[in-house]
Amino acid sequence: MDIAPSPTLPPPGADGERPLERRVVIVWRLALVPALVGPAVALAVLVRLTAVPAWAVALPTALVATLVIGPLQSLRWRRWSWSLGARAVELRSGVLTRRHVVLPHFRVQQIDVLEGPLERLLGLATLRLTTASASGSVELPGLPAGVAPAVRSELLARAALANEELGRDGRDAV
Amino acid sequence: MPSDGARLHPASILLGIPLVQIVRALVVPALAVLAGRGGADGRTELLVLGVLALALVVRVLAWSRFRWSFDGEVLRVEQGVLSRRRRVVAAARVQQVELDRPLVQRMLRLATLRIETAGSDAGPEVELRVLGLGEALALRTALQPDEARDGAHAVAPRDVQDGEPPVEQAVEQDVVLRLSAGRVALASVTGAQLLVAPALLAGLPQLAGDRSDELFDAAADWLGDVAAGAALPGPGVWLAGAGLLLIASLVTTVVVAIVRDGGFTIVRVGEDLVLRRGLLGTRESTVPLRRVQVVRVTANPLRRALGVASLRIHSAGGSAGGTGASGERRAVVPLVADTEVADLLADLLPDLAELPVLAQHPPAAARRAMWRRLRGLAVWFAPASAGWVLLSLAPDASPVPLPAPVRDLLALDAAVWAVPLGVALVSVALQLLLARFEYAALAHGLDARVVVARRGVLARTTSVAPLARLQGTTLRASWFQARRGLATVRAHVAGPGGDVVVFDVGADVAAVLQQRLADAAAGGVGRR
Repeated sequence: MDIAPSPTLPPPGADGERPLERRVVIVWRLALVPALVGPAVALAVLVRLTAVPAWAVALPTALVATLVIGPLQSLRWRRWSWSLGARAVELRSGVLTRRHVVLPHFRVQQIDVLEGPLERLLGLATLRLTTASASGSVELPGLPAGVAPAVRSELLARAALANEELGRDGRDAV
Repeated sequence: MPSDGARLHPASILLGIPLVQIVRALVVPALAVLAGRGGADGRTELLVLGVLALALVVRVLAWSRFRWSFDGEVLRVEQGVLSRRRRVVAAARVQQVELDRPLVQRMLRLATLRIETAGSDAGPEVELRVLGLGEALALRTALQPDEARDGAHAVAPRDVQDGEPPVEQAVEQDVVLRLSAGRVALASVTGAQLLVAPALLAGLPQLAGDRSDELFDAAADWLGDVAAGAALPGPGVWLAGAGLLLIASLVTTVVVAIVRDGGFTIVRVGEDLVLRRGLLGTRESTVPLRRVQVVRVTANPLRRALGVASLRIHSAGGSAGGTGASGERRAVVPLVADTEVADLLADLLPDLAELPVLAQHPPAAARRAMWRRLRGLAVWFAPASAGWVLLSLAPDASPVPLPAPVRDLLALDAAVWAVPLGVALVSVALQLLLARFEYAALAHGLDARVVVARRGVLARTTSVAPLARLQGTTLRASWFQARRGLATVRAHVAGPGGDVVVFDVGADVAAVLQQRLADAAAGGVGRR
C-alpha cells in the first residue's frame, strides 16, 4: 500500500520499489576520485623505488580503478531502491554487502535534507533519517532536489499520524 | 527571570563544583607554588589566596544565578552567570533519574539529583547538585510517570523541610533482588576489576611523591636483607612478593567493591525500578519499567564456571559514559546466579513471561567463523613469516638489535621453517578452538514480546530487548555471508545500550526475523 507523496515524485515500480535518480552515479564516481589519488601516488613511488616495470603496476591498477569507478557504481545504483510503505520506509542497497533497512514512521525523530556541492550542481539531494537508535542515522541519496522537501513533508506527516495513532494507546517512540 | 524558581542548597557553592573544575582550579595555584618555591616573601601564598577568593566569588555567583522549578509537567532549569542557559524537560520524556549521595552529602542530609532524557549528549540532561534530601526525594517522586502525567503533584521547592523525607510509602514496594556482601565480593573477584587492582597498587608509590625513590631503595634493601638473612633463594622472594601483591590486590578489589556496591538492592516501586547501592556514599537509579530498552546478561568463563553472571539494564538515558567509569556502571547488577536470571528478567521486562527458546544458528555459521579467523590469521602471518625467513638468511641486516636467544635460534638451520611452522600450527589450532566457542555461543530467539540474541567467544552476552521499544531493523549480508546462505539482522535499540545483533543466521530465517521485527517496531506489538 503506497501513497504517492507528491505529484512531482514518479510513481514506484510494480513492486512498490523506487529507484534513485540515475545522476547520483556521477556523484558517487566523482567522490571516488580523491580516494584514488593516495594509492596512485603510493604506487608511483613503488615503481620508482623498485625494479618492477611501470606497466606491470599501472595496467592492473587502471583496470581495477576503471571497474570500481565504472560498472561497480552503475551496479550500486541498480541495487539501490527505496519504498514508502504505510508503516515504514524501507531502503535496499549494496553490491558486495547487501543491506535492507526498515525504519518505521513511528520511530523517526528527525529528517534532514542534505545537498553537497556536487549534488547541487546536479540538482540532487539526500535525506537523512534519524531515530533514537544509537546506531546512527540512515541516508537516502539521489532524490531530485525539487522533490526532497516533499518527501520529507510526507515522511513527517506519516510520522505524526503514527504518533497520534499509537500515542492514543499510551505508546511512546522511545 | 531569576526570581522564578528555587536555588540549589547553599552547600552547593562548595559541593557543586564538578571534579574537572577542581582539577583545573588547582593547576594555577600548584604552578604558582612550584614557581615560587625559591622566593620566601609570601607573595605566592597571597596569589594562591587571591585565586581561591576569586573562585569562591564565581561559585557564589553561579549558585545565586541557578534556578529550578517543576510545575508537575515540566522541569525548568536556568543557569549561568554571563551566558544564561535555560532548559525545559518534560517529565513525560524522562528516561532515568539518579539520586547520588556521596558520603559528605549523606552526612549533611543532602543529595544530588540527575535527570536523563533520550538525548545523545554525553552528560546528564539536568544535574541538580546539591539539594536538601527532602527536596530531592520530593522532586524524584513527582517526576515518576504516573504522578507526572496527571500533573497533580507540582513541587513547590522548599515546602518540604529537610526533616522526614517523604519516602514513597503510599506506593507499593517490592524487593526484586538483594545482593549479600559475599555476592558483591564474589562479583569483584571474578570480574575485570581484579586486573585494575594491581595497576592501582603499582601506582601507589607514585603517591609518595619525591619520597618514592627512597621507598624503592628501602624496599630493595629490605628484600636484600631478607634474601641474605633468611638465606632464601632469589626466586623465592619474588614469588612471595608476587603472592603478597596478589593477596593485596584481591583485598583492595573486594573492599572497593563492597564500599561501592554493598547493600545492592533492586526495588520495584509502582511502575519504576529503583537500583540502590553503596555502603558509605549511596546511589539510587530510578528507571521507569516502560523505559527499559535492552537488558544484557554477560558472563566471562570464570563466572560461567561458577554459574553466575552480571546484568546490565539500559534505558535510553543519554549518558552511558557521561560521568566516567561510575556513569557506565550505574544500572549494573554485579552478580546474579544463572538460576535467578529468568525471574529477574521477568521483573525487568514485565511483558515477558519467560525467555523464548533460543535457536542455534546453521552450521554454515561455524564454517564462516572458522574461515574468518583463519583469514585474519593469514593477514599477519604471511608478512611475519616472510620477515622471519629474510631474517634467517641475513641476521646482520636486522634493523633492530636482536636479543641473544633469537640470534641463537637463527643460527640453527632448521629454524628457517620450523619456527613459522610451529607458530602456524599453534595459532591455527587456537583460532579453530575459538571459532568453535564463537559458534557455540551464537543463538537467537523471538516471541511476541522480546527478541533475544546471544554472542561471544569466551565471555558470552545475551541481549534481551522488548519488541515494543525497537526503533527499526537492518538486514545485512556481505558477499562472504551470502555465499554461505547467511545474514545478520540488527534490531535497533534506542540509547547507549546498543543494538541487538542476531549474527550469522540462515538467510531465510533472517528475512522472516526482519519482517517480524519491522512489524513490531512500526507499532504492531505491545498495544494495550
